[in-house]
Amino acid sequence: MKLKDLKDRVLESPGWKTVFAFVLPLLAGVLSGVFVTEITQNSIIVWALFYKANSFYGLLFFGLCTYLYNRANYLHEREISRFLDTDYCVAYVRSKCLPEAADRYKELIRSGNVGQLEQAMEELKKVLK
Amino acid sequence: MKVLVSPDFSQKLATLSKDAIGNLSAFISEAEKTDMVAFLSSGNYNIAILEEDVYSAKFDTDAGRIFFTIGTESGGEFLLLLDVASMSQPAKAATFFASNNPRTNSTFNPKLNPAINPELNSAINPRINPVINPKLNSALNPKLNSAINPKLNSALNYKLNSAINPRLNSAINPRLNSSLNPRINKSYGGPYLYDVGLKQLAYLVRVNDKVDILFEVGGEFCGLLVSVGNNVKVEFDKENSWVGFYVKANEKVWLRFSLNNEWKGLLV
Repeated sequence: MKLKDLKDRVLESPGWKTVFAFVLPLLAGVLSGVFVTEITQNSIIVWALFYKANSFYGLLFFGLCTYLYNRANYLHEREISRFLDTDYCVAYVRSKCLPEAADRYKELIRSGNVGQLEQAMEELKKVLK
Repeated sequence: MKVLVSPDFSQKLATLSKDAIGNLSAFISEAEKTDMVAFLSSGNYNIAILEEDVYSAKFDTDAGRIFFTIGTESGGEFLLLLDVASMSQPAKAATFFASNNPRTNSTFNPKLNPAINPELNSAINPRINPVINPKLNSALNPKLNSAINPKLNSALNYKLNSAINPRLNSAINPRLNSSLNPRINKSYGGPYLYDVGLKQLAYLVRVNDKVDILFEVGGEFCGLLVSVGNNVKVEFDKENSWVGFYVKANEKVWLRFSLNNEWKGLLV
């Protein structure tokens, strides 16, 4: 499986959504408890010891995973929803003057002057082979 | 159905991934095997009609689109591929893919093509040709012609006309509409604004027949161009102040001049 396919599967899978929305926060909660225990001395929390606690790096790792997942999810959903909207496609088509280009090329086709279009198609087929 | 492709489309092939090219190949094969009605109604590519005779089809993940038109001629039905939009993660490239790249295609390079060099072609030099000089031709001068001045014509003022304001009309805002953002749509292709050293400075989004909007490479709105006739566009900054003008050198190339008629770059 390609990396991109794996990424798409992770972003679209309800199972993975559950992992990031429920399982990971649950584990982070457990690790937070461990973290507090690790930096507590004589019933006092000594924050200066945070980097010596293994659970701190576990929490950091979970935080990073959550950030990367949310970032990928945001970009994925934004791109799909925005480009799927027909209005955005219409704006693109207008900006690129595609209706005018379509008319121009159709006129060429009707007049039998399809040389450049057929040549472009031949070149395209060479690339597609 | 016969499948044809526009030269603009084939120029963009270089921007497509291997997977996208494979999907494009499948799209063409299916179009060639079926007739027009069956192909449009097959539902395989989420085909939608957008405007006039222009259709879009999904071909590469959910975000890649092919734009095409269809018709009939004496030889039968045809499908003509017009353009492609290929979405990807935002790129950090300093320069974007250009369909008409003056660095690689001498036809669009004023240093190599004297026909589009104002220092060598007097017809496109406003210092020599008064018809394209706003200081001598009042029709091109926004200070004298209120119809082309956004401060006096609200239809051209993005602060008053939401349809041409990218902050209010998300469809023309590249930060919101990925298809218009060369950072995300690798196949965007331009037109781009270059300085005389051929460095990409900005890109253009056409809003309507009269107005184009300039965006910096980072996607920041930086000004608008108002068309005056077929051969001149006048440029305004974000404050709607007149800052320069463009002269048409040929069908694809526009030359940029300052208010002092100094050649500043090109739009292609």
